[in-house]
Amino acid sequence: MPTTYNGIGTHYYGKRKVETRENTCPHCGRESTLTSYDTRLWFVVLFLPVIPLGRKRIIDQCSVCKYHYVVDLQKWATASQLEISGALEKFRNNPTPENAIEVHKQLLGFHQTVRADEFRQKLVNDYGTNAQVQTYLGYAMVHKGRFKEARDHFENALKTRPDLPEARIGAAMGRIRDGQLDEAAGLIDFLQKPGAAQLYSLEALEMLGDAYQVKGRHSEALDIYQHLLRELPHAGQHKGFRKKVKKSEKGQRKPSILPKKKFSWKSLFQPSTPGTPGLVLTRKGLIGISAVVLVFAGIFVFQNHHIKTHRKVFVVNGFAVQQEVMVNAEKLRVGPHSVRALELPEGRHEVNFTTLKTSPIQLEIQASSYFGRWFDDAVWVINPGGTALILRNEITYAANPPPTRSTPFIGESIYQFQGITHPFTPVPETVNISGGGERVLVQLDQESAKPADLFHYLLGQKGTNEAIRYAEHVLRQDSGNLALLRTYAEVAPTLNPTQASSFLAEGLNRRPVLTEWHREYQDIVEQHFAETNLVTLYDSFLREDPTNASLLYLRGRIDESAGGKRKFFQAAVQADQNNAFGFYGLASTHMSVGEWQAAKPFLARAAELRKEDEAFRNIHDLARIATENANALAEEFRLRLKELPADLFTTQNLLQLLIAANRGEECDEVINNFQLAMDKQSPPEAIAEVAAYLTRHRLYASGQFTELEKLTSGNESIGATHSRYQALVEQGKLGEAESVKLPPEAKDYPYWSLTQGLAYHLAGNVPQAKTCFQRGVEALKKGNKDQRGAARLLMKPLPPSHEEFASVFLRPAEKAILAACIQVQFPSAAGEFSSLATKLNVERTFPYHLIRRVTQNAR
Amino acid sequence: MTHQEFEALAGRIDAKFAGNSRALRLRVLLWAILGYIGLLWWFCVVLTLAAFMWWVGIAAEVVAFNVFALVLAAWGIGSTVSTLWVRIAPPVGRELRAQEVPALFKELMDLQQKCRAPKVDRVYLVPELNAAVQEVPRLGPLGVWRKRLLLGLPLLDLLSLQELRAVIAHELAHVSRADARVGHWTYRLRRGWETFIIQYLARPKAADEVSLRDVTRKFLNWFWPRFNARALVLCRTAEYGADAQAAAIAGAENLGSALVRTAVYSRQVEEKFWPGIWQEAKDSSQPPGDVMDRISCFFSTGADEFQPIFSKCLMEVTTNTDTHPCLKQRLAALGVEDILRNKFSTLVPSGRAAGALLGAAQDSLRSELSSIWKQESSTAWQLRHQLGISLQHRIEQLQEAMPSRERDADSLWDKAHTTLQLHGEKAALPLIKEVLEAHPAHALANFSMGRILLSEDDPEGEELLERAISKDETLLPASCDLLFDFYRRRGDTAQLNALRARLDEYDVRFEAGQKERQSVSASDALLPHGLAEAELKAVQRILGEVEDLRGAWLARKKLTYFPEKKLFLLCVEVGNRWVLTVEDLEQEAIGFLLGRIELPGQALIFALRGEQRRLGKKIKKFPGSSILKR
Repeated sequence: MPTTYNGIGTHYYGKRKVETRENTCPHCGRESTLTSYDTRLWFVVLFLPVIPLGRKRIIDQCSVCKYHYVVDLQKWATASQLEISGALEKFRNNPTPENAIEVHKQLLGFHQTVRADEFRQKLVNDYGTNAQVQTYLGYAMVHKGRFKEARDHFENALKTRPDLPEARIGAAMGRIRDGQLDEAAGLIDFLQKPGAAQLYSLEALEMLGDAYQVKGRHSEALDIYQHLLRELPHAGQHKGFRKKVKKSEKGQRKPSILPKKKFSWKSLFQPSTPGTPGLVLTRKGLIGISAVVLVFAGIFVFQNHHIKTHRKVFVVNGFAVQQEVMVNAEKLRVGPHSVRALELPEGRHEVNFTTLKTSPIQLEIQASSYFGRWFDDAVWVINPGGTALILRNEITYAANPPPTRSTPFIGESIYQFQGITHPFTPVPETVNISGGGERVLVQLDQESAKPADLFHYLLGQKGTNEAIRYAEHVLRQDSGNLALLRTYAEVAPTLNPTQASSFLAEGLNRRPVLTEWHREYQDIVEQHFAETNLVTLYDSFLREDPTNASLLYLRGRIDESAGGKRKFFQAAVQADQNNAFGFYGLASTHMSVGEWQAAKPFLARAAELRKEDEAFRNIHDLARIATENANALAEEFRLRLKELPADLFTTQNLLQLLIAANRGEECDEVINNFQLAMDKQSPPEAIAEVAAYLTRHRLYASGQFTELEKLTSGNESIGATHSRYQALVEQGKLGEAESVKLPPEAKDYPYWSLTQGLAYHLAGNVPQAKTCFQRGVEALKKGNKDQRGAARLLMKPLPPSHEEFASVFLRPAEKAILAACIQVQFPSAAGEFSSLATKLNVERTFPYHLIRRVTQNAR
Repeated sequence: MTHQEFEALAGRIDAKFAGNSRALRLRVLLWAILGYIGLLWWFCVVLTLAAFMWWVGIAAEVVAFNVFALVLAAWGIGSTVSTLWVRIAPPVGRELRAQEVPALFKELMDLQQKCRAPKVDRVYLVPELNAAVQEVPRLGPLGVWRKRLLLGLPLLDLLSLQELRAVIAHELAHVSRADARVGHWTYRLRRGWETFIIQYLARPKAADEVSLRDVTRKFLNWFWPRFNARALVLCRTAEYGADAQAAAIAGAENLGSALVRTAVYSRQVEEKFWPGIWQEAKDSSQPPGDVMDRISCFFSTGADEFQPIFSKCLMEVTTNTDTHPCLKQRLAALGVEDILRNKFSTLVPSGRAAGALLGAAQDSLRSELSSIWKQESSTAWQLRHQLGISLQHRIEQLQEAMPSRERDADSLWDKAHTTLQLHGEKAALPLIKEVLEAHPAHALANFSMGRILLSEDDPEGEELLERAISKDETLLPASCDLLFDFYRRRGDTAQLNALRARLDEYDVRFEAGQKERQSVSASDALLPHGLAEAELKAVQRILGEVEDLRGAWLARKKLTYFPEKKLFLLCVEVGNRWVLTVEDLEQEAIGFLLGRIELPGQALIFALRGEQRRLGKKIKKFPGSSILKR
């Protein structure tokens, strides 16, 4: 059937040789006008005929449902002529009634109504007394809906052969149409005989039953239906028949004549209209489907090819510096901690990390299968040096979604991921999900934090081993990453000092010398290994490169004597006037005995040379706090904070300077300013925590221990607990201080035990003080070379010499504790060491006040 | 495949595998596998498509694909199951137990051992004059065979104990050779294809429908005769094998004697006993309850007819469509033909095996079996009884309508035909003769008369059938079937071959001839019209009546089949050749001519500039085709 959609499609235009007849539609089963005509099929646009698609003969188009048959007009016309002329020829040669009927059938069948009527007239004349011919003509007229003429033919037939069943049936049907039911019943009485269904069609009988029903003669209708049921038992399962019987049974007080309805699954799948062939595939349908399939196949093939030639590749830079990557001959620059997308065809590609200067690697882009391209959502990631941490996040959207599942990937230069819905793009906040289901999106993301932060992230998420593996991988690529190096050196030796030292040893031969790297190496070796060959090692380095300032500095660091150290540091400075570490070494020889004034120029020079290293500036600031006017320095620090408002170390120093200058009331403003500076970049919890820290620092620095105790009371955070402990110790509430729950590792800190010893000493509890000192010494013994040196000083039966004290290099605050302990342990040298402790006790952090009281007592 | 080709193929197979039944069996099994592949390949396509859709659904995470795949798979599996589902109904009969007929089971045990046949699971007493074994798989395609032995009570009544032993040995030989299994798979394949044909191939084809049904039909037409040729040869070979084994155990003479008795009485039972029983249906609404007693009595009668029927049975020949060899060949293979010819010069009483094997249970079993038959045939009996009433009413109506008037051919034939249906051939014969006397060319009367005569082995029937065919060619296939059976019974192989050739020719000519006449095109070869002067003039006169006719050309399509039935092609040029819109004029002219021109054959009249313009140009150029020019 021609169809149009929004005026586009196929349509018949034109009607010629129209023929109509009233009859039952074979499709919808309703009485309607069936029309046949010649027409032309057009392809139409807005119902305007555009392309002719051929001439057609429409056969029996139902006026109700429009269902019809259609044949090619040319074939129809040819077949019509050939069949009719063939039948006519046969009739001319052998003019029997059968052949005459055949000619008339052909004429009617090919809609040659005029010729058929002419021929019918001939048949009436020639075979007027032939009952078979008359009966045929009767049925032919019924077929054409010409019931009056049909009736005449049936009557003619009955005149000749009143016994002829077909004629009686035809005449009866005519009478039923005319409402003469009793006459009709008499004509078809033979159909009510047992076994009639084996000889005749019982359609006329059913028609009579239906007519009785329409007239309200239900009893007679039921008699007929009962006979039909006896003859054709399967009719009892027919829906339409059952309906008719039930209608006539309504109001009758007799049991139903219908058999029990059988359930059949098949009936559910049978076409609703009897006689329809069901779903069939026609040639046009096949062409249409093929065209649609071809179009879709073409689209799919094109899309597949497009995917093949436009594979998603991402270059991820985990370095803090820009990386240059060559893919095939194309140069790409990728910014620090950023991602760059590109599209490459499938195949083998050469990738060259120009910045890293490593060997080229091959990137193989290949689909899992041809069809897999549509569904694999594959992404390839180039990770120069393997330093970027790539997270594969599975985000589930649901009413109660599970937490996001993140899988980190690091260490490889090439990755292939499947099923990535959001490669390096943010996932939506919400998605629409129907019916309470869930949806999972898979995102690739680069963790853009600094390597040291990533190290901490991995430490928390994946454990120490993974974090160390990551750190070592990054440090191999980026040995200058000091933050990561320090973090690594802090964590790795606690797990496996041998591995940590071996890893660091890998970098010792690199030139230029990585001073920080060597320092960490030296520290690990000195702390974790009793026997070291560090001196031999560095002497060998120096033999190879005797004027290397860094090596000279490093050699000085591990020298046993203060004099020896100074000699190497001086040599380093002489070898390279720009070697910050050399200056720092020289400064440290002075700082170890509290000679801040002497150390200050060296520290100033070192800080100048390494402006990017806050540690140098901080130690220089400390020297200045120890030596310069607090008010003036405070103003300088204020100026610096205007430039760097979120500088915590400077803020901390400013606070202690203001307190020293009795300008404590300005401290709140400083803390507020710091908070405001932090507001722009930090989360509120972090700001509150830092503000609390600074407040605690201010309270301790100003000696307001009661307030500090109050402030921290009930706060179980690590910082608050520490501050409460410090406040209690400073107030001499040692028993309460003991009960403060500090982290276990805090008690392993040797200076904690030593400080506790000093506190007990001040409290007059000598035995307890001794116990604490002893515990402190034991802890020092487990430390690095200088800590072990400090332990040795404390264990000596006699007070250590100035030279011996000077040869131990510790942080000033630690050294102040050491000096205070020596002062307490060796009363004979109390004067000298209390003086040293006072000089070294510069930072107003715990145990600043305790040491002050210890040294004041000595004096 | 034509009948002759089938015959030749069967002959070749018979010769090729003579004495090598194992190779033939293997070949039949391979063909059966091919048949199953042909039957099920498109289900595999459907299932593959379903699997692909499922994969797409999984890969693309589109549930609709999965649902579609499941529906497709369910439909495919459902269709497969419905096609392959073959329900083997249990035999209609009475299952026998060893306790009630110990003698029979003792004989059976003895024969099983001798035949080295596996144990028969169930034994049934059935109402047919026959014995058979069935092997039915318990688990469908997985096998685990159940063996059933079916023994007809009439057979036990007819044969002596020794003869029956030979028959049972023959059936057990089939079991030991696993012939029934091959038969079972062949049967399943046949039923599968039947289901497939009913469900798919026999469905009316919609206009312009595209389906693989034509391909499948072609495959079926190619496969089935080739498979059948092999399977039928195997069946006959198996019969010889089973006969030989049975003869070795029970004696060749006993087996031969059993075959003779069964052959003779089968014919008698089919032609006389059962028609007699069913004739009772017109008077009685219930089937008789003693049919087994009656058949037993029937065997005691007709001794004088035995010898002529035996002789006729020996005349029968085997054709390649038979599952069993003819009696003569089987007796010859057993080497007992001459002995039995002498032995059965008169009917030799058998001394009935029923008494010996069924013992005291005989009467009760006979009664039970009669009841079973009564129950099984009651529906068909009722229908037959009701049909009898209707037919009787029809006869009465015919007599009432024209008691005294001279009857026309139609009413005479109606009465004869109705009588034939109601009372059978004997009663209808005078009426048919009456029709033929009045109307000697009456096709159906000739056909019916011919059929009756051939069933009585009267060769006059041949002529009547030929007369019927000449009057109505559509009666040819049915007539050939009757003739084929007649010649086979007479052992007339020459006539059988001629008949095959005739059927083949008819099939080819009928189908191809129809196809040839369905269409015309410019590629058709042409012939001069060949009309006589007067005929041509008549045509020209009518053409001259068409005002706008510019020219007319007449030729004939060259036909390969039935060339005597001519097909004329009349091409007309209407209207001014420089005017494009002449279609209406052309149609009007053709419509005018169609009703008037009479050509001695089929005719196609078309316009020179119409859609058949290429054919028109070809006719225009054909020498002597121009019959009018203005």
